[in-house]
Amino acid sequence: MSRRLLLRLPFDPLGLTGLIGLAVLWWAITFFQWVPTVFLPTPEVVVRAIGDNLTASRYLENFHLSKGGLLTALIYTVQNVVLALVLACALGIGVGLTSARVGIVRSLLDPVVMTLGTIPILVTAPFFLIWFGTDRLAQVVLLVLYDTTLIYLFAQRAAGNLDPTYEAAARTMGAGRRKILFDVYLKGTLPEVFGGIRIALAGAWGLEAISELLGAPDGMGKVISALASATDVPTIMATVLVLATVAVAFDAAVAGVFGYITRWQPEVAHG
Amino acid sequence: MASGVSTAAGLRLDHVSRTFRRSGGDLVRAVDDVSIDIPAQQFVCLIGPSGCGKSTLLQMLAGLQPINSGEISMGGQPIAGPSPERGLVFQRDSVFPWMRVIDNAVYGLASRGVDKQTRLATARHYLGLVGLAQWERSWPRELSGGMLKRVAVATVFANAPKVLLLDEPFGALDYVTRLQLQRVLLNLWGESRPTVVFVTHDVDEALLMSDRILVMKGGRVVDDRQVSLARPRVVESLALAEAVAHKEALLLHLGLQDLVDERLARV
Repeated sequence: MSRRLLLRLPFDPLGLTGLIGLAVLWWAITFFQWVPTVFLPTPEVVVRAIGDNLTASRYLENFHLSKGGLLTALIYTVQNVVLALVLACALGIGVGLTSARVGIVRSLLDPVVMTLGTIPILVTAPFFLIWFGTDRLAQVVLLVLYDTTLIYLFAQRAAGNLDPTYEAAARTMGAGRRKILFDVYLKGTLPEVFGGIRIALAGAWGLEAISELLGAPDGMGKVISALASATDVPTIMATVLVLATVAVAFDAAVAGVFGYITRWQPEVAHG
Repeated sequence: MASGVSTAAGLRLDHVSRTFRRSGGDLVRAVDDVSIDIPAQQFVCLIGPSGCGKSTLLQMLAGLQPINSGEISMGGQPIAGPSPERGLVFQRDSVFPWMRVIDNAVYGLASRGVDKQTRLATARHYLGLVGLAQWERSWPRELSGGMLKRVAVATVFANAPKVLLLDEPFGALDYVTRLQLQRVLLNLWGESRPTVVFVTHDVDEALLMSDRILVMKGGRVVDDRQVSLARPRVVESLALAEAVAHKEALLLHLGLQDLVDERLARV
């Protein structure tokens, strides 16, 4: 594989070595029974639990969970994460870029966003449960709040860092305000904004699962909550493993798309 | 191909001033009561020591800086804000790194609503004239500093400005690239003859390129010199008596008395 291609990969191949090492360590701990398997089941048992419950599971139905097994719960979780991210991108990028250019918007919104950013987001979760019940809306609003705060800050900082020469050049070439916002501020800040979106996405998976734990009609967090009452460690680990795998795959796919869109950036020299 | 040729327009600056307030609170007059007439198609160089106000004046001509008092007009019309009629080549890189070379070159035309076929033909014409025909699909990161300046120059000419403003565009380039780009610029200017205001630190560059040199010091125009050296000018033109006389006067303005004294001593 050429060095150029390696630099363009959305993940570090060395990271795979770390993951494989973790799996080997897990296997070794259970094989040599350094930890009792009742607390840490073997990889084989967890993989079997995934196979048994992935698409349809009478076992999970016993816990009043949906009939489609882990997959249905996973789809619910993924839908919420993606829906919240899309809404947060529209809101965070739009308002973040505007706040960087319009002082009054920045003065009004910065204190609000900073306050939201310092409150541990889970503290607000009970309020959403009270306001929206255990509906999907409660989880989506919580995620939108978290994602938007991050993306807003990244977009605002990126616009502030953008060389003002680009805007001046566009103005002298006859570009209007909307064209400047789209062609200069939006396109020029994408690398930094994409960084914020990936950070938001990484946190969103865990936050979604925890908000489902607190009360939701479906989702991976709901599955974990139900299984915890039965102390079914292998199926809980299976659920976590499926969610983690999807989150990693999602991040790799997003990084690939973002890397393609910002392929105009100078390549970073790695030592 | 739609030509970028346009009717050049003259510039008139009437008692123009611009003041800044420093962080300490005191006022600085960056441009102080400047009045100049620049006829259409004239190539003017603005020269002066750092901080003399020449870049501020250029930004005011571009409409990027407000005027505190006085008036600037182009073709008899007062200017208010930036306009594609006054193209600007910046000192810093202004080529959008997120757009391919061709998309940069058509940007001004697209902003003005020129149809796609015409703007592509125009942009390709100017990219060809600056020697970048083969690079239109490249990203700016793949180009050298000199090539980026060529893109910036082609982009501005493609937009058919009546007045071309250049703010030390070649200052950061090496000697050979600078000479090449000076030639490229003069060739393009010869094609459509917009009025040019070119800010530079380089006395030789001013002598090789301009019809007229304005010297600024402390925000004021302190000398106005007509350069009647025959065109095309080459490096050897700088040894002609008129060029030497201009150069001595300009070096004195720039505070290089020692250099002038040394030369006189040798003579």
